[in-house]
Amino acid sequence: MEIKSLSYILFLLVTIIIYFASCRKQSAQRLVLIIANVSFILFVSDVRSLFIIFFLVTLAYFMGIIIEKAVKEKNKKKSKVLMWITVIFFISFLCYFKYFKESFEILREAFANNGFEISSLLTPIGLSYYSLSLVAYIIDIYHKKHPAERNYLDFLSFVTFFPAIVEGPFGLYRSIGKQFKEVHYYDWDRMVSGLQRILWGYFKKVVIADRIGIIVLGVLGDENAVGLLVFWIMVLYSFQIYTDFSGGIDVIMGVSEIMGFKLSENFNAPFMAKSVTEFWQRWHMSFGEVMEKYIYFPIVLNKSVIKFSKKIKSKYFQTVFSATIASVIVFVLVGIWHGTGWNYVVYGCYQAFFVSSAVLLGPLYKKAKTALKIDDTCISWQIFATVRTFVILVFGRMLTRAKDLEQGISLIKRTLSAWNPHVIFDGTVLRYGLDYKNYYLVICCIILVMIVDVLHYRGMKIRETIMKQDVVFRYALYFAALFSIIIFGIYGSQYSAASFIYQGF
Amino acid sequence: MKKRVLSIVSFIVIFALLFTLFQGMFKQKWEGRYMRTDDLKRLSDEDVDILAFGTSELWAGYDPIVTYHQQGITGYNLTTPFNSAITAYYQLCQALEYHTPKFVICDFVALFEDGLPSEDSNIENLFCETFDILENPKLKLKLLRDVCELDDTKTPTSWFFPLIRYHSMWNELSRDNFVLDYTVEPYRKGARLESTYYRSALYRNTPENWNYEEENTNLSDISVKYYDMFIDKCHENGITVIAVLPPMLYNQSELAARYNTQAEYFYSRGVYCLNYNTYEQTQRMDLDLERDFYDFLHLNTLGSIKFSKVLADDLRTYFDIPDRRNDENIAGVWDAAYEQFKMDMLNSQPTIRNTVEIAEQFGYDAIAQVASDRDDIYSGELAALNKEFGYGDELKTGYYLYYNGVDGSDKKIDYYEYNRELDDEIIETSMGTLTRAFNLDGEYKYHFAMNGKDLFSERKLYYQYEVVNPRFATKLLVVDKDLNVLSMSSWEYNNANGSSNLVRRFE
Repeated sequence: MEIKSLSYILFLLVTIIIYFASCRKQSAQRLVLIIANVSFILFVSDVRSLFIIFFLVTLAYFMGIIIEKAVKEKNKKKSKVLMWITVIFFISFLCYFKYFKESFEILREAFANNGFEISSLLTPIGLSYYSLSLVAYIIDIYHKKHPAERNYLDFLSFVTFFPAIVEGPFGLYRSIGKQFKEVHYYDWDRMVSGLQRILWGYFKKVVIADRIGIIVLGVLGDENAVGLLVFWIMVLYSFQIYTDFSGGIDVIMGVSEIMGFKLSENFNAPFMAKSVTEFWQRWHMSFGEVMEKYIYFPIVLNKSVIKFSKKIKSKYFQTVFSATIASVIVFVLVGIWHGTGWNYVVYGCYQAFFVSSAVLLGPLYKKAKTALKIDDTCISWQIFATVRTFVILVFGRMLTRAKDLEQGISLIKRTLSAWNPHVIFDGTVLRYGLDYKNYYLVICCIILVMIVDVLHYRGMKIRETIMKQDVVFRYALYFAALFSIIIFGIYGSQYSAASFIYQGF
Repeated sequence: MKKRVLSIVSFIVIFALLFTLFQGMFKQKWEGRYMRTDDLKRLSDEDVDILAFGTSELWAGYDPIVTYHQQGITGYNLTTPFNSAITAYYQLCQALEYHTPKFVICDFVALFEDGLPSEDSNIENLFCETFDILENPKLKLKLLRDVCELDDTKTPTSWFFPLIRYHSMWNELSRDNFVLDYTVEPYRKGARLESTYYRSALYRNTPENWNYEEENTNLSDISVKYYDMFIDKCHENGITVIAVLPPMLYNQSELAARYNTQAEYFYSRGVYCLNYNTYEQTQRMDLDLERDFYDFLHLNTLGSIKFSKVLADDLRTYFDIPDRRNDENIAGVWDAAYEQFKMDMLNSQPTIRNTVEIAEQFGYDAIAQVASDRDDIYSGELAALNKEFGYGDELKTGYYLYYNGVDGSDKKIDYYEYNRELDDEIIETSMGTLTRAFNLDGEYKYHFAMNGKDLFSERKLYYQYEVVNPRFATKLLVVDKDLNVLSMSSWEYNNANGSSNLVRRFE
């Protein structure tokens, strides 16, 4: 059941109606939510996934209680050991299914060639997301950030929350867990606001992302496509991945909002970032929060690291050493989290390079800007910085778009092998699956997305502004969005379904 | 609360209205075939003695207007490209709600294939077309249920809403999508009528093409089931079912090998069979495999006229079908439609040769081309020139080359015999060299060089005559340089297009 399928929409409709119909009692509402979560998992995956989720949730639940008890008893050693065992178990579980699977498949094929059949390895749905949420939960209990959850059903409904289980956003129990204990009443304004967000999400995903996907596939599949054509397509790919991911998140956030849940935001106009560091503060923010709280800060504040940094001669480097090391480790892990190949590792290192060099060379950049009399608050500099950051990110995307490191490097080489700006204007791009009408639709929609992002960046609350307008304007806007999705959407038998990209992680 | 409910209801109503509006725009026109149901409903029972079902070969081959003219047999062609037994059955059910013909002809093409949507996007389109065209909601639901049962890749959702299915048409919208109806010619009766032709240069029709080894081919269980339902439905309504297998260029040996299996099936179901896909039948029809097809499978207009005439003769011979040519109620309408059919077919031919071939099918003995031109070569006053140069009553097949002396030279006329057997010809005339070449587009191109100077090239010869002894001709077709029909029975003085072409009145 894909998010863009009609069955998902019907599922939502039925769930929301029953959810609010049961709002007189929290226990009834929670039960409805759990049934919906379980049904969703079964529709999307199978009973084995459900079994794994139940197993991990139950383990985390009981281990949380045990660790909390050890912490309350001030048995630091026991609580620490239990915490580490649980965390290592969850991480190993994730690594096993995420990274061992490829090797397992190779082994399976080898056995099959010799006449031995081994059933394929299951990939539990949403494992990358909820396993890290559970790790964060256990660590927070150890650090006394919040008490262990005593109500199993509340905890289960949090972990298996169906809108977010497949592609996030990451939910920290300490931030959003309380919401699963409350009764949520139907609210008209919240429903309208949520529906607006859902519409916008579908528009981005179905009209923009999937449409860009056609031309990206076409160009990258053509070995003769070189130079700026490849670069331009990677620019479009960056928008594809953004609109695909953020579109899905908008749908998820909209559904959650209707149901009365406020989840962590995942995007904040990321292409307005003026540095790679700022980009990662605006992109996949919930994941960034997890990495920051549970990897970055623990490394930065680690006594051994601080002790080692004191051995560095330069006072400045002493202060930034731990931050630099932490950044490198975080981004390498970010790369690995996205995929199993060496291209993802290099991608992580690539991001780490820019983030850490910004830290390490910070004073040098400042001196250079002063010497060159660059006013970094002026609009021209800001535009330059934004474009520069975007170009850096586009090259990084070449590594994640490729299926392996070799292909990623080949893509970069193809980009740099020719200087042919004419291909963007002479109709060459129209040979790769999109006619001129579809292509210009893509360009117009990207401009629209950027306008919306700029407005968000400048602090405008677009949905609230829309809701204040008169009914004719609002209805016209809603119908325009709805029929744009229906008419311009990439769905149906003539298009192959391009699943949400971040579901694959 | 009331306000909220009103908001929701008004939103839904407006959405439904807009959805319906867009749905009308995004409807597939199916090359005009969606109009056939409306067309069929307007006809009387006497207009539909035969209904045809099947695939594109029969769609291209069967011209009801020709069978009417030939033997007074009325009918309607309800075939569609890429037929499946399932869709044929439902199309029959739909048609029987409006008429009960005496005979149903079908090519039973899908006997050996399942014909399910998941097999092929063309079959998927066929199911979409059939579903769109069905007007009875119960039939639609039944078809949908059958398809979903047989093909687990299909779900009902997009089938009910054409906008969901055809939304990708947005970048192909044209004026036609905003026009309520296509205009359907009264003579079309559902037929294809494609005028282009497919020239397979190396292809010759010989008995060896039809050689085959017996093929052990299994019938598809699904198709047999639905064709059985098709036949039973006809028999329940007292309709005689006739299998009609049109001639095809492609894979004759394979199709011939399957024939015995098909024949067994037909015999066991009490279905008569007229098999035209044999060497003898193609000879009987005088079928030119290079000129009577528009591709390797489908007859063009010329081929369909030949085929339909033979079909009409056989239907008359073997079955008791009313001859509607004397039926006061409908003969007037069909006759007028036939005249329009003749005019439109003659006007739509791309070359003089095609016009001649079609004209022969319509029984014309002679064809003359009169030209007015704005170019240097002027070839008007042809009859006067003919007389002047002594060719008055002795026009015969060949080239009459006229030069009007525009550069100050004397007017000239010369006659040269036209050799039908040759594709390419170089003729040395007293005026210059005329080269005729048959190019890959299937057209004759002419090049004329006079005194070393190219007067025209790569253009149709404006003033070519192709005449067969007009003294004995009872019908004369006159066309202008663009092959538009000027007169079908007599020559007239014509002031059309600002030119003056004196033509001889033939009595």
